[in-house]
Amino acid sequence: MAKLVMAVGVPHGPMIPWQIANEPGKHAAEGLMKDVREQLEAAEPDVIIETTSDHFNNFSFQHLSQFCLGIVDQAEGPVETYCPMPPQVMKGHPEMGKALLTYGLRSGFDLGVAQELRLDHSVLVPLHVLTPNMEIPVVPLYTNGLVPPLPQTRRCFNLGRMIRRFVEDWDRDLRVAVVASGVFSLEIGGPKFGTVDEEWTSAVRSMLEGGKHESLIRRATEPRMLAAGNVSGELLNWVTMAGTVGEIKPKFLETERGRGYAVWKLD
Amino acid sequence: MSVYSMNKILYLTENDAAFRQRIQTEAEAVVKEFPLTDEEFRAFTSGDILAVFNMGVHPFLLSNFSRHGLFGVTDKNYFPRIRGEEKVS
Repeated sequence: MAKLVMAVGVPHGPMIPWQIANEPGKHAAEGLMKDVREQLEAAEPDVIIETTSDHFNNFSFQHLSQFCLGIVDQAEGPVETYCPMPPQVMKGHPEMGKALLTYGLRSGFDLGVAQELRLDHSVLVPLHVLTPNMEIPVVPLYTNGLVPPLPQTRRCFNLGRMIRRFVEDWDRDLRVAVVASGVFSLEIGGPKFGTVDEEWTSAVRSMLEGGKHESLIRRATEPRMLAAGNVSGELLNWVTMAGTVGEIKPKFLETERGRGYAVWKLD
Repeated sequence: MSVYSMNKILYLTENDAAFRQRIQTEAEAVVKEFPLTDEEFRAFTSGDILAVFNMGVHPFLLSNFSRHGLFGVTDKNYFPRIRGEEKVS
């Protein structure tokens, strides 16, 4: 049977790779990403499920799924104009994607499917920084974290629990890691740009640190998340990840300017 | 109301290089291809991003105005405008 060996959460700011490459020693993200990367490498995952949010690069108002699995042989990016990093090719894991799709449908989670992806920074910044060789295949799970109305926080947590059951029931001898991509507090393009909700960041940190996921589900309402910035619904990607780990505490957790970096070790 | 169309113009500007080149060279003509109301057209083509924001355009897409230099919106005037500190006549 497959095994969930690690879950990690990191931000995906589009400038992070450039900052690490061009301004070494200047950005907190560099050291924190390195800490997460070393622990992820030590867990030796064979495949990654990445919980993330599209930023109007695959999906827009023409069709916007609340949840969508990427089931691809491979995909490329970053496709956006504002993410200066080397072009990347992500390997998919269609077999796992299809198995998760089927398992989800049979347990009450009707996930959408995309068989062609235009990858943006929300997928590629974590992968490029945490798995620089890009050799580990990935099943991206997109959740709408940007366009209200957002999916319910509890639904995301239960989705994570379903993913955990899927992994443990999957008849493959593979080590699986979950990578959550997103921030706790950030505003893009709106009037609150440049501000960080430190109180919310600190509250989220404290609930994650204590393994208090029920509190997180209750407090991370859509109005509270959006009060922390118009893309702060990306926290849902962390909530889904939290659903996969159970009520355990993280082995590592740091925050800076509305961003979290964390590791849950399950092996 | 065609907030959908305004969102779509901004989506295409970022994601479709040929569309981006067209809107950067014949901006008003390109916007005219979409079914905007007169009020939406005026706000959009005068770079009144606060008005466009208040009409319901998504702020992440709205930032494509300054990212791609549409209708006089720049990195410098984007935030004064969306905060209502700089009026667009």
